[in-house]
Amino acid sequence: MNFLNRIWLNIWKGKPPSLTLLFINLSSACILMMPLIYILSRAISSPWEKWSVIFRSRIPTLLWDTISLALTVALFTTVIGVILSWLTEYTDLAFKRYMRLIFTLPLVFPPYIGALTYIIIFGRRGVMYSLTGSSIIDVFSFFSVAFILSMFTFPYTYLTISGSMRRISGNYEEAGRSCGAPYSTIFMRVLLPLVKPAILSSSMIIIFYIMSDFGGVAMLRYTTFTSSIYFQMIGKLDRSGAAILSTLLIVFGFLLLALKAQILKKVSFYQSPKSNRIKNPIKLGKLKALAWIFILFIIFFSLILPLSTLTIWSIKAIHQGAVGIKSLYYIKNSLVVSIGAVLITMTLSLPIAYMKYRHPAKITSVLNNICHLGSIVPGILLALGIVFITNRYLTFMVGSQLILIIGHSMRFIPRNLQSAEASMSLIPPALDETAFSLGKKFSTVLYKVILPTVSPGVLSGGAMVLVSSLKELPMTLMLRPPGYDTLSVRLWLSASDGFYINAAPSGLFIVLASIIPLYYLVKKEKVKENGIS
Amino acid sequence: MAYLEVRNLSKKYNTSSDYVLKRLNLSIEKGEFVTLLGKSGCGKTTLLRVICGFETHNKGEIWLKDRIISSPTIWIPPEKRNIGIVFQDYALFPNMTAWDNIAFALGKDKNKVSETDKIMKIMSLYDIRNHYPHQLSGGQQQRVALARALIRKPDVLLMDEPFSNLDLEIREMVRDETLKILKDIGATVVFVTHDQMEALSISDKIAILEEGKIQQIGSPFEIYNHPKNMFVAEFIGRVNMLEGTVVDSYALSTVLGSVVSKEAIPYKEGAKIKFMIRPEDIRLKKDGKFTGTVIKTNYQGSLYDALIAVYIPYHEPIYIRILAPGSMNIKPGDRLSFDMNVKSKHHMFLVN
Repeated sequence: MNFLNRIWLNIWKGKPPSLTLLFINLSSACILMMPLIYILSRAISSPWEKWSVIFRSRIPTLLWDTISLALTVALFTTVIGVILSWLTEYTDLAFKRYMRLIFTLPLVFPPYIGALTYIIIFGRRGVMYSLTGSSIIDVFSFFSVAFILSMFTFPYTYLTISGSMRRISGNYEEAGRSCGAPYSTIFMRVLLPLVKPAILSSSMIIIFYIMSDFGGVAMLRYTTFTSSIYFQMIGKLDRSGAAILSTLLIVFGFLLLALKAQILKKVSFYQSPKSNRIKNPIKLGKLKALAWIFILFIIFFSLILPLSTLTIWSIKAIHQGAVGIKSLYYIKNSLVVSIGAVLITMTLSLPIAYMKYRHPAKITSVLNNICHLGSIVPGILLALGIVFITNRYLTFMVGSQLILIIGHSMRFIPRNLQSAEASMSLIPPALDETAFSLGKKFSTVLYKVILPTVSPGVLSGGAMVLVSSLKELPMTLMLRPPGYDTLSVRLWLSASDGFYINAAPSGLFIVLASIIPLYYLVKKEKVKENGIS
Repeated sequence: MAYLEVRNLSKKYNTSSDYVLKRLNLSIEKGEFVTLLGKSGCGKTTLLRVICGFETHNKGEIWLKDRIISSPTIWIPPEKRNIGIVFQDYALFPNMTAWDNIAFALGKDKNKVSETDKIMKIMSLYDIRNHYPHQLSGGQQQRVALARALIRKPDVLLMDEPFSNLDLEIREMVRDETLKILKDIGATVVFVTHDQMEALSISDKIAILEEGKIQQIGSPFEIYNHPKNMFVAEFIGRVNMLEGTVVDSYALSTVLGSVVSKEAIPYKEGAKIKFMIRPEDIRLKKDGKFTGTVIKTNYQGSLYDALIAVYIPYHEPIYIRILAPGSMNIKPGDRLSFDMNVKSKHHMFLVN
């Protein structure tokens, strides 16, 4: 018994968690693992011919379509991100402070809503067609798809790259100039290499985003892994096919993660700017006009066009009486699911964050990483796994809202964890240790001492979950009870049927709601900048 | 005309209402090592950055080798000035090896490889040529930064507190090596520091900067022994400042009694003045004219740096700093007698 005790203490480095805490963490991790494990086992148990058929008939084009789109969007967004970052961080561009904010705003458009607005304008029977007799561009062509997705994802690269540029000491530039180098040389040989890690990691974010996005890609009738998994499952009802495709996507994702780690190891530098001098802004001179043309182009296609389209079509919808009591019903359905997910994730994120910081051990970090799976696993995969499991073992839950709520919780608990863990990391252990020394029970400490201090973090995490869940599309489509229409589902169905006017109000509602998490994102960036956390 | 000449330079930052540099004049001959010495915020780094071209200025002009490099109407960009600079934090490019950092300064020069190898060998950096900045010690980083600044054979080398990031133990060694290299190639150097001992020991000339103006420029000897004004006198080294009234051309009356000057006093009888006496000029003597009580001592082995108080009836005590031989064994409370004379006419300043 002593021997076992010693091992137990060793595992936890002398600080074993209470059994309740361990149980909560273990069971959360297990539940989160289950869908993936089930998909894998389903794929492995599929007959060999199935694999070979899929490999021969689907994989080459699918792989090429996915990779080429992801890389093209990564390239577009990197170029946009570098140019905009350079303009706002290094030059004498006017209104820089507002520009920084504006360049993050396109994040309020989930790609499928952004795509919807482009279809309204440039689609086969769109506004352009009725005005000029031609659509001008083919909105479903490869480059249109890449362009549209870039317009709603470039803020990710902009935020990362501009943050990195801001941290580069102005001394490097001055040292370069005193060496007699012209600005172009300094830019290419010093600044760009220094932001290379930021460029690579933001490209990775984009590549993952495109790989896991379902709505935008599917709305634009492009085929990547996620959309083909969906249609394999929903259209063809081919479960092992969907499982095999999903497994390949998972493998592909892990390969990319490993590649990213390798590359980042090679390109990271140790900057030691002891004096981070404020850089003298570079005078744009004749380039100023060109810079503004570029900026206005980006703002027009990523903000003005989608927002005005949504607004005008929503107004049209109201005029035509398409907004009525039914709309309230969709909002209610959306909120039931979102609020349910918020409550579950908030309740669970507290013990999980607590475990991470108070009982650090190998096993803790494994469990914690599993809890973060939802942030890298595409929603469609989680949904697929959940469908498999409920249909097989939990048939009584099929067609209930509960399964939808659980699905959303699983997918979005990382968003809550991120902010809960950030606030938890700031709480000194002495706080709860004092409470324990006063003889308080674990649950009392957790909810009376820790919760009040981390509640801002947990609540802002809850807000993130709320909005993410309102926007969520693929999982909702797959898990919803028949006839249970939420805003995003309604938008998708109306758009699929070509009733864009009915789709617009839902889109506008979601976009307006999305301003909340953006506020937190911008605030977090500011905090990072000031070096507080 | 001097090699590098700064004329009537005034500079104001947009964000502040005061001028940082006020009609500043400075001339430097070829091959000279000039130190700008001043407290932090006196404008020394600003002056350096204006000379380099990283900052513009409002009035005045800067001449280098008989041509204007900077004035309100002319501004030659930093990369065309051929002025090298070594930054306080060295600013080595973190993405390049030591070799690449130095070679960067040569651009597309034909002899880039041989030149870079040569200077790295001279400065004993050749063995670490493939190391990245974070893999180098402080001294090595400093030498790489110096080599990078020197390899283009700059007309002037500017150094902004280049030794302040080094540990005390190696600072002196690195400094001696650096000086030797600079002397060997006959570089013209403008050096910025706030460390007076460093300034006194390494410079050909020291320029004392305060409130955006050069208070005095001269050899370390002149600065230390013939300060031009009270600011310079008090700024450099340790001094005792005392007040007195001129009695005749060789005597002053003070609250302590009369003090004699070795040189004729350049002020009229009855003039109120302040005069300085350095600790090393106070001579301890058994039958000295003044007597005080030791307040505190700072034993340094070879000598004591001590503070003594001279008590005077109906007056605040006068505190005087002295140096005593280390073999003397003095402690707080001891009474010491001493003599003091004003050594030079440069040590007396009129009180307005």
